[in-house]
Amino acid sequence: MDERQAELTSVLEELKADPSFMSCVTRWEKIPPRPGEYRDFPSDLNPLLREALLGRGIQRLYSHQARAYEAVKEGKNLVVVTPTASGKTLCYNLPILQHLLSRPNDRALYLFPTKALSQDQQAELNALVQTGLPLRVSTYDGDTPQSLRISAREKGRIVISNPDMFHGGILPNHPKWIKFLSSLAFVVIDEIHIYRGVFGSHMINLIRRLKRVLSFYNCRPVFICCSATIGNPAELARRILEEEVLLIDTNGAPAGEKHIILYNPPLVDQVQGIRRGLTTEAQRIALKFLKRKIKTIIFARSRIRTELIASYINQSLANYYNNNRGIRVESYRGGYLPSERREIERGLREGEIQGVVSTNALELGIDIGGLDVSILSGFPSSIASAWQQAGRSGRQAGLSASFLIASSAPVDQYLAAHPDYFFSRSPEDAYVDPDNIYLLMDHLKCAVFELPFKEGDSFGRGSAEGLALLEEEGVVRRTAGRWYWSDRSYPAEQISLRSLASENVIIIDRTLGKDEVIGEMDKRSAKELIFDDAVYLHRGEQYQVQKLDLDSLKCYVIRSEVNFYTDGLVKSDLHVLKEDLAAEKSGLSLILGDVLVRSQVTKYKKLKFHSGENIGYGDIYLPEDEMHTRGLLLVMDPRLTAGRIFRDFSPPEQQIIISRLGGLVKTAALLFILCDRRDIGLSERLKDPHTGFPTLYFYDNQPGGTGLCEGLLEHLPQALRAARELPEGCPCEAGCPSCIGAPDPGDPESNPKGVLKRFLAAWIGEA
Amino acid sequence: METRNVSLRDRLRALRAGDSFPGRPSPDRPPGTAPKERPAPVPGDPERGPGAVFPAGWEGEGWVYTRTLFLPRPSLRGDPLVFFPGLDQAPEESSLLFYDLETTGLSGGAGTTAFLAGVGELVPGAFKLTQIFLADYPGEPEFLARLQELLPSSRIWVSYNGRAFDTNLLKTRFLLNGLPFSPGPQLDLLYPARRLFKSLLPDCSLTTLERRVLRKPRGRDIPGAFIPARYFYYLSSGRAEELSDVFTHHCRDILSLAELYGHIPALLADPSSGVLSGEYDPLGAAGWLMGHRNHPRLFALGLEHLRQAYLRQVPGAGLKLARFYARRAEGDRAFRIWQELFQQGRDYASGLALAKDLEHRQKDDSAALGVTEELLSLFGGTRGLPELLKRQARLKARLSRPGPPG
Repeated sequence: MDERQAELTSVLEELKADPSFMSCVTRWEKIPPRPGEYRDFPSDLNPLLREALLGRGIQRLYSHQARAYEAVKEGKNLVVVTPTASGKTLCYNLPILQHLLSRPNDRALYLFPTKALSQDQQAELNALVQTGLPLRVSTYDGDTPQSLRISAREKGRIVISNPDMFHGGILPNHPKWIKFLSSLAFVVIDEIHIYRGVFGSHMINLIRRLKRVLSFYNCRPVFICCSATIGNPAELARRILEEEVLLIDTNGAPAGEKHIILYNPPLVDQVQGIRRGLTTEAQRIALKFLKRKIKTIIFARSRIRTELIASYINQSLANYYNNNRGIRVESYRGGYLPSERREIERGLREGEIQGVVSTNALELGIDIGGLDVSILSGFPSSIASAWQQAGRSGRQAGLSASFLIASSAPVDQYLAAHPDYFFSRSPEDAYVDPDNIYLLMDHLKCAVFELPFKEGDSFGRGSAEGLALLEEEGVVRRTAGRWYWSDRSYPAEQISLRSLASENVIIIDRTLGKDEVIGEMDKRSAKELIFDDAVYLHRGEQYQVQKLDLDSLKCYVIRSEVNFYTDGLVKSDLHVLKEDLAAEKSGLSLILGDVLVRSQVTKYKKLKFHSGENIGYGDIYLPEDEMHTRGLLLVMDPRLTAGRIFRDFSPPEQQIIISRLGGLVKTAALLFILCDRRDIGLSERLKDPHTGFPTLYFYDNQPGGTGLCEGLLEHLPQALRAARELPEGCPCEAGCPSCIGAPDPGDPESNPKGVLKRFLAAWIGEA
Repeated sequence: METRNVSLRDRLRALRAGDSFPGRPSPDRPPGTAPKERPAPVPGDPERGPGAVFPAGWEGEGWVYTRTLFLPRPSLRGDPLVFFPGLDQAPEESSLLFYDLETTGLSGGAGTTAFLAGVGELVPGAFKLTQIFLADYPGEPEFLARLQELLPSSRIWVSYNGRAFDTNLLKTRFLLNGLPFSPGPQLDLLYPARRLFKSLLPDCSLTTLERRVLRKPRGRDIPGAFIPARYFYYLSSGRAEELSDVFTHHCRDILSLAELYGHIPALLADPSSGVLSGEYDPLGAAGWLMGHRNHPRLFALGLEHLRQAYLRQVPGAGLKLARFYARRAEGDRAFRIWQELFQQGRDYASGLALAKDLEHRQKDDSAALGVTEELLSLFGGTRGLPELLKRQARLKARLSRPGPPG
């Protein structure tokens, strides 16, 4: 450890002394060590529990653990926000074990978003409980053998499960769980930040169902949530639980000195804004540390990148004579067998593995021990996850470092150019939609199945209308003032919490008579990417689509070697179905409401590799898609600032502004809203038939909406300010893929960036 | 931030209006019109109360109806003790209650309800069957209370798959209605039926058994899978006459259950003709009967099945019988069977058993080697090669060693 620390210090000093490396560093931030804040064990702590803690080497608590203990004792719902390795699980384990020891009938439910986390928690609790606490901890998930299920529900004082099992297995069979549910004192929801978007909106409904069933058993548990650092943890917890929640976010755990280095790879082509590749840069930096046996984790943004970086590193280290100097580097991602994953996690913990290249799969709280260096090759999809990943290196005492390597994507370039932004502002807010009508209706079915509804029973924003619809559908019967489930099906079976539409297209390689599955893609993306004759790139290989069969959800491809790739052109058509809110804000007129999005891929472009030159078009014949969702309209009403300024630009300039502004605002919005780029749809209209003015339509890309449009409305002023700064900070001349997109190849003389900058300066400067 | 000042109703309306968006005519109604009013169902109508169109033969009012039928008494033949491995003596006929439920679904869970229950008992000269029908959901507490009266826990509950399904479902229903539930001792005929008939029939459903074992063709009958839909249709339309098929089906099920109870013991009474008849699986019967460990007569009946099956050369019978003898330390009997089996069939299992017996019990290494080598030549390379080679080497080594001194 000391030796590794000395090595780390010296590598960092070497880097600092290297001018070519330093020329790419846009910020080298040194976070000083922080002492811990400790509290003695509470005076009422059960002696058995005290022994168990002492036995594990814990002699006192961190301040946040002590606060959580007190708050739970007072019966308050909590959300605890603390970084990695700060003793988070003790925040719930301690008060819960204390309570369960003195009340031998009470029970607790722990929900984790993945089975891997459940297993981790079971192991951690076992280590505590096996010191002599008379409590049984049981895991109940899809992997639990039938023989252990009964004992889990009859005897498990703490049952560890996941939302999917809770939804499909436990709630619909709640009478079997009467013993457990009627004495449920605590519900723990760990990693609550994962429950955003569709998953989060499902979670809200799941909690509503849980509470209905529990009220039948006269039971009101305390909820304890834990979250990674996001912008609005308390708000998210409050929305999911629909109850008051106390926020504990002051961390009492000590931390060693940490260096955070923002690194923007050198420009290779100034005009087009092309930078040196991420993969190479990540590998180069990682090797500097790995060769000195410093434990390093590299995060890559895709599964393929993960494999690539790991293999490059291993190639560089390969040496038969010294067995790669005893340095072992593994890759880690979804799609590996659970046993393979456990093996790598253990290897990291026990020190047999020095390096790991991972997707965000290792971002969650799986225990892999302390690492010295983390390298993020490309900013993850959010600042929140950047901090999570950077937090993977770091210890309670001693030095650690994190490198954040910017890709050429606009958000990355923005953060590299505005490091203050990264360091000073809080991470994005997570959004959920408690009123997504599709999810509400789905869960309403499950809820009626679980218990009949009485007149006046609530479920979300009201249940009577929803029940009336279900009655009309014939699955619910209303009689004598109650609604009863009246269908032979088991509704939970038809609902997956992880998505709204779970249809995937299987991609099959038929080269030379093969019949091999090489991948999958969701149906919507498939229409845009793997239509007939499309060129499809998969793990570095080129394929051409023979046939996309949407009925059987299969896509047949063969290997090809053409010199172009294809890009589907999506034509979308939007209608406002219902305006919920009209407002004036930031010099715009805004409309929030329900929209109908019809989209169809009708044509594709053939683009030459490398130059991106357009060498022709092709037709696509696919059925149109229709989706009801939430939309936010940004209307350039000439009576307000933005519209007035817009009106004064020439028509060709107006064209440039309207076609590029939306993408820019969307990019900027991603700095504030926790979601993926493709979660927000966009459509631009120079003259919109609904509003009569130039209008940008932002819509939620999930049927029914997941709260993103509401989030965008809330953060619009900040997003517009960031949108203004984004092109300012980019070194390109007339626009590049890293800011507002490259200039139109058909009109190389135009300077879209200049036009947009002028427009934004006039508008946002004035707003 | 309050941005949703729209009621759920409006949103639902907009959502469904999407079907009839301009340029897209709605399949079932013109745009903008209200959904069709559905006829108010008669039972369950809070004002008028249920039962206005209920068929004759049933009695009751409100939500719960019953009828009692006196059906031909099934003949009970043979010793019913075969069903009760734990008892010394078969229970009195009069203590048996044959029951069955019809439910709104098969998947279980809190949303599945029983709407029809039947309890049959053997009375002098007849089979008395009482059916209870739940005319609508609100009557469930009454329905369950009536059912518990008919099914007291002091009697023996005879069912087909009642142990895993019906009783669990009732447990849930009683619990959800806040009523105490006390089930009686269970006899579930599915378990012996599986042992006896599974290998002979495509499935072990009661309907299949009725046709193939009781040889009673049902004629017109509603398939079980359609029953929930029929009940839902009745609930929404009030047309109780649509249920007469369901009521009949349910009666037949319970009657067949009682007949099965009378039929199986008779079937097992005479092993020699039973094995010949091919009406049941003699090995399954042997296994089931030999489970009566404390009852020498039934145990012997099971063994006799095995012996008869062996004599009739039922596949697998010889090996089972030999294994039984071997466990009983009647090695010579076992040996003779293996020998005979191997001479006749040259099969691997009996050959291997023979080799083991020769080596370990009879200590005849050279005979054991002979069988082992024969097995090697018969199956070499296809079955048990490493094991046979090991055995061969061990035997050879022992044989080549000089005998013990003296």
